[in-house]
Amino acid sequence: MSSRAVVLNTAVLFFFAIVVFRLADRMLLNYGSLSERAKSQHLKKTDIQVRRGAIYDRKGRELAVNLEVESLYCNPRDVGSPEETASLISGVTGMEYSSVLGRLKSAERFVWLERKLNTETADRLRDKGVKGIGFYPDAKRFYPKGSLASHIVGFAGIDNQPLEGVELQYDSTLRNKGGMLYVSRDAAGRPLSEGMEFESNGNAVVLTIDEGLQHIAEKELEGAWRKWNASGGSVIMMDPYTGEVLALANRPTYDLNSYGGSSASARRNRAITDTYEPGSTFKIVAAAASLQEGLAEPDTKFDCSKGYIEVGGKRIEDVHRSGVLTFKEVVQKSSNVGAVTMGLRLGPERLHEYADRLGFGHKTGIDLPGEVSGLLKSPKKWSGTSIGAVSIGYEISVTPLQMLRAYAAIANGGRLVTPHVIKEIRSPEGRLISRYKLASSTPVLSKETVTALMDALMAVTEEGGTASSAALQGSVVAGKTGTARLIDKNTGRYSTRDYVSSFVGFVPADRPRIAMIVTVFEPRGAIYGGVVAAPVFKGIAEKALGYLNVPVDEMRGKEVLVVRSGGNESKESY
Amino acid sequence: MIYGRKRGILFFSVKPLLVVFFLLGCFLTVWLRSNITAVEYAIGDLEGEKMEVLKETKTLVAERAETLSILEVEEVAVKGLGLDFADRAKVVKVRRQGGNVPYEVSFRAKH
Repeated sequence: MSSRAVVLNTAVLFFFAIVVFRLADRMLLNYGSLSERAKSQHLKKTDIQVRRGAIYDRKGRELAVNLEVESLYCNPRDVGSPEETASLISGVTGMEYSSVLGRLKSAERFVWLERKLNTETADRLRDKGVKGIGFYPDAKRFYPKGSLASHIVGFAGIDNQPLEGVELQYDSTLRNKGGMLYVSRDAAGRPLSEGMEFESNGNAVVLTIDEGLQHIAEKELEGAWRKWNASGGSVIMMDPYTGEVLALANRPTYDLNSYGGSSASARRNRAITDTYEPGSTFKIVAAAASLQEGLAEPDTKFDCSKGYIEVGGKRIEDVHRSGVLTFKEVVQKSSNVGAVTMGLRLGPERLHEYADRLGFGHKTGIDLPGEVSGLLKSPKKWSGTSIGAVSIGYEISVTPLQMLRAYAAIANGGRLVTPHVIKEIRSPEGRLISRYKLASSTPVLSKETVTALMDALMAVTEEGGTASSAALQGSVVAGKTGTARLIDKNTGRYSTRDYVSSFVGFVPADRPRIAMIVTVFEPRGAIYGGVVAAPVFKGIAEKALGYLNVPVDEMRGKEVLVVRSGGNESKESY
Repeated sequence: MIYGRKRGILFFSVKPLLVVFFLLGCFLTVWLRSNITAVEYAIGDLEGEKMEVLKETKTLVAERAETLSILEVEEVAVKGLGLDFADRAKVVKVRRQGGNVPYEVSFRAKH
């Protein structure tokens, strides 16, 4: 071999040795750090967009959905002229110039300029090609029905964090965990996708609420609230057999899409968070206990002729003096004397026991945040006058929902149900994940007691009862009025001006489809439950039964039409 | 006497064929890779489009829900068309029998 060939071979071998060494360095020794560098160059870290699940009413109508919007941010160091940029941005978005300018002059590297811009505004701003600003895809919770069912649906904040209602109670269902994913990109930064999901949707929640019934309840309550210039009001409509809340409305209320401007009072779910001394609607406790304990029968007579009764040195009077009343008439006319007489015969322990049995003093267990348990004192803490006061619904405090639940127990044959607003949970694609399971409950009242109570409650809406204004054409209403004084916060005594007027009942009485309570706080111009609340009950029940296609009582069992279908003639009956 | 082995055409074509296969392999690898990249671009674009469509769908769903709210429907029905809630006592209920077939209703059998 010539010397030239030896030199050439040596040079080639040396060159290959360098290449091999360099490769070993890149591929074996510094593999980790170099591969990280490469990854950072061609992989882009992206947030998985977390979207809350939708909320529907029982018929699948949207109550809460998401809108895709964009949030505007800037890196103040990249902004050319802050003054010009601020002027441009405020011109397009309508934001205050000084506010934008202040943010553009910030020392931070990342500043939000405006959250949740609508698409049109974001597009207009993008077209201007402003330097130093950027857009971040975001979701805005939107409530298409505005203030409808606001106290049930609740709302989510600016960062989609839950703040009230179902949004808060079922947050873990509605919200999936987010995360990050890596997207490949080319040298120009264009994404190379392998088909991945950039969005993570939470499960959908289907409520027991019916938009139609809710609208009816809201409309009627609004009318009464305005008419009586009341400080507040509540309506709850429930299926007495299942505890499904069909409608729940409060006044004052607020728009879910602009909750920021609403007062704390408007956002309060009075139906479950406000307690009051119920007055006469509570008389069913003494009445039910008397029947169940065999101390009274439907035709048992009570002497109410004096028009008052003394308990512990305190005189309790009837609004209108009556003579001797039967058990049914005591309930029908809402006699205080009759109810106190029942209470005295029962004694504190038994009266307390039945109040406890009917759910007073306990949370109902509704799946909404903020429920309170009310107050039912132990008989040991009762004073000498307590037995009289408790018999007619004073010295105890209840929520409207607790009262409705007790009446629902009469409507359904004696069982205490658990009120609830959730019906189903579905996947984002609509697949059923879980359904509310009804808990089994033991009867708290016997069938005989329920039948006698129902009969008495039906008489309340008849001529001579305290709530003839709640009577419906075509269906019998069973219910009870309540008119109770509120405590004057200044004097600490019962007010002579401020009352709570209520009516609670169910309809149709013999086969109840809905149980409902109407509570009006501090009405002006009238105070009686039969005048203020009962007409609201009637207004809602009339429309609700029509909406639910409940035939009038006279139609039941009668063959009224011939329905011919596919050549076969048949008679229909209800 | 020296005899040489007979070398056929195959012997002479092996090397060029190997080179051709090698080059073809390289070409196919590059071609496949570029095709995959092109598909990835296409998927990326389609995903962008999908997100835009989803965005629009969400807006439309919200608009539909708002438009079909009972409050709106009642506004149109009562104020716009002069309709009113039916008197429940005067409503005649018809319960339809059978499947999805034409049917007729009459008062002939009313008692």
